[in-house]
Amino acid sequence: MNANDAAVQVPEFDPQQLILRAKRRRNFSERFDSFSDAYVWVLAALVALAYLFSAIFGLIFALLGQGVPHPHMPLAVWSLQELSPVLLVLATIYLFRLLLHLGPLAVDSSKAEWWLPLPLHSNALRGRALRQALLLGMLASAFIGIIWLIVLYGLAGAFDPLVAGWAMVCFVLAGIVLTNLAVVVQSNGKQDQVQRWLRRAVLVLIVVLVVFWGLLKAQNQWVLGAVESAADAILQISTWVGGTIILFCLGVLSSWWSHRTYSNIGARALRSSGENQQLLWGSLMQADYRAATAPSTALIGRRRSQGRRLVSHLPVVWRVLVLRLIRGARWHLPVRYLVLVMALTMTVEQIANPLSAVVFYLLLSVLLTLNVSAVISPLLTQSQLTQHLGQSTAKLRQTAALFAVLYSALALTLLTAGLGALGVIELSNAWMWGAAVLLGSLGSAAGSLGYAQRKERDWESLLGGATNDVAIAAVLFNEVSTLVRAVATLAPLLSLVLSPQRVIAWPLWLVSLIFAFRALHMLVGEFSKQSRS
Amino acid sequence: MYSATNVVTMQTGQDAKYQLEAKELVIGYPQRTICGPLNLQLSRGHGVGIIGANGSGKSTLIRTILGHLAPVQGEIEFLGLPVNEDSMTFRQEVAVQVTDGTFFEELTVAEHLEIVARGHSLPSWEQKVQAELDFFELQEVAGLLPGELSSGQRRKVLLAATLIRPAQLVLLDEPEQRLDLRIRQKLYCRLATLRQSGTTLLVVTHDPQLLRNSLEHAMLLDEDQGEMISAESGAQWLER
Repeated sequence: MNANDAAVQVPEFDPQQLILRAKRRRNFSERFDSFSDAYVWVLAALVALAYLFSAIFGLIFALLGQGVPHPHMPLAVWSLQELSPVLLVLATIYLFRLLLHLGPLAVDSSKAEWWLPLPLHSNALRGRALRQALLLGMLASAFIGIIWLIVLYGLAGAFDPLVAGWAMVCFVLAGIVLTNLAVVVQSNGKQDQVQRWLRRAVLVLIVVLVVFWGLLKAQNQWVLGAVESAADAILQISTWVGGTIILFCLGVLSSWWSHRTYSNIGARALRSSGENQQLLWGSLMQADYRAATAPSTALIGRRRSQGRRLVSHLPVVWRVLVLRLIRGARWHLPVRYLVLVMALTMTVEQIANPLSAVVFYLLLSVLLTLNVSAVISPLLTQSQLTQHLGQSTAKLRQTAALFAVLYSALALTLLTAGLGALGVIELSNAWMWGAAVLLGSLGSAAGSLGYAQRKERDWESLLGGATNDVAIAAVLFNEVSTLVRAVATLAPLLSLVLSPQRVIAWPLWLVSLIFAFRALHMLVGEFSKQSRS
Repeated sequence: MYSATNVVTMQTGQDAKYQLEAKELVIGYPQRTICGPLNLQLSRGHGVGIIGANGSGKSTLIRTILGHLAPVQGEIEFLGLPVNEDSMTFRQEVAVQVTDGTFFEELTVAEHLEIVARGHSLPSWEQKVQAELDFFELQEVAGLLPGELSSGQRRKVLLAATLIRPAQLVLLDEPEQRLDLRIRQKLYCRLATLRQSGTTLLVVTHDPQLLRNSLEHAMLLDEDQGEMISAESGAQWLER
């Protein structure tokens, strides 16, 4: 028997039929439960969207510094509305990257374990994965579209339902096109190459922005006209109708292409994509971003020799922390954030205002909490790993706390100095600013120490155990308490940003101190434990 | 052979103080007792293997001794004090390899050994790191990250990290797993030498050769009880 004969005799088997048979046997109450679950999820999504609307409108309000006097930045040439098309391009690129990272075709681990090794055609499995991928692409694109439209209409100040409707159709079609393209890339096993090209595309976009900024600064009439036309065009219905027609054609073409190629995707790619999807869903369900953003071995491998000389004379625990920071590229996030903040403040009109500065501080505090927690987490949670180091737990905690405070203080100082140098905030009383930054750093450190020890959440038992609204609110508050702690300690700092001439009321200092207490306790209290042990 | 309801005294030599002592220890979970009551007294330089069928509680015993699991009943003392795995003394004097292990994903194999050696203030740590890399035949992967290693190589790194440091008590959970035969043979000799130099060994194992070559006694966990038998009897039980 030759290979072709063997291939012909491989039976067609649709594992989906197996699931369907099992599903048909489910009784009514189980179906009702499923419906009830779906209902709760839809309700939760609507509530989340409502909160998202409010948050984005609040953000726009703050960024534009409504009613707050602000200095005129000599380098500012953009308006936020003019930048919205750029935001759209960036969103498209990152959505495509996400789809490539997720497969987009994937088989979850149980199916991969039991079905992929069977000597059967797996077309049914792949077909289902393709339908799921298309659904995922459409939903993700539509979600991005909703956020983008909120931003756009928040800036434009007027809402046109017809334009918004056509725009949403465009976003859904764009999701289909992007998913199909990602399937074709996955079929050819070119994800890594395409990801590299997309990274370069982001750099090109930044260069284009810089060139446009230079030309706008030089009052180049053609660029002025082009930017204005682009900003106006996104509010015109004809733009979106045209976009819909083009995307529909691309959708048909790309669907045909992806259907021709998707059977080439190998079991290994389906399995690894399944792991990526599982990781992402797990992170979303757990509301814990750490697993999904952990640096890959390949990324660390490229930096394996970095920092060796720098840390050679440091104590072992510091050595571990600094190497995690450098080789895991974890310092990139706050640095990129600070660069973005400075660039936006300098080049976008109206952003250089104290309300924006408040937003920048709050975001930095949250970002630092999450960022530092990822660095220090093994020292606080992996007792079997740290047992090898021959250091007491108290000593490890103290070092982690000190690292978190210093790292946060550096980031907050850079933001303060940058905004001060640009004239957005008034740095008149250095001592006050110093004390406020120190307390903010302690707060971020306290938040990150708490977040680093966050364990897996069983939402069913957590929320199921809450019998009334107050209890549910308490559970939810507890979930965000680490971030609240970090943000609350910024109270004196934010007071200085908004009214630099006024004396900070003592209750603000007190609140800040209370929330910073955990980090202080770790720094000082653990010292005595350490001496005893 | 010792009795099943055993109070097993393994103290020898001049020093009357036990390094590790478990009294009337019942292990398991609040809803499910796995084994006990057990009494175990280990003094300096003794080597005991813990053997038993799957699910008999071998790893649970080690995890309970380490404080990862609370005892259902009874108490455990290390150097006369309740076990506190957070304390400096415990971390300095007890070397542990109990699972497939976690690693600092950003540190290379050699750097893992280096931080352990330097964390314990070993003099001439560079040579000691090199010696461990040689012993476990890890020279070729010294510059690799944990994520780039095979499961056997990861196991060797963990064992190297456990054995590079000074310790009064060494706890190992199936150290023979995933090791090739040559490294196993070297490990048997290494553990025997370690024990002769005064280090106490408590090792969960399914390997009769490890019992015969490196340890003196075996605690057989069977039918919810612990029975102390000689290493040879333990090896025969494993080979049955």
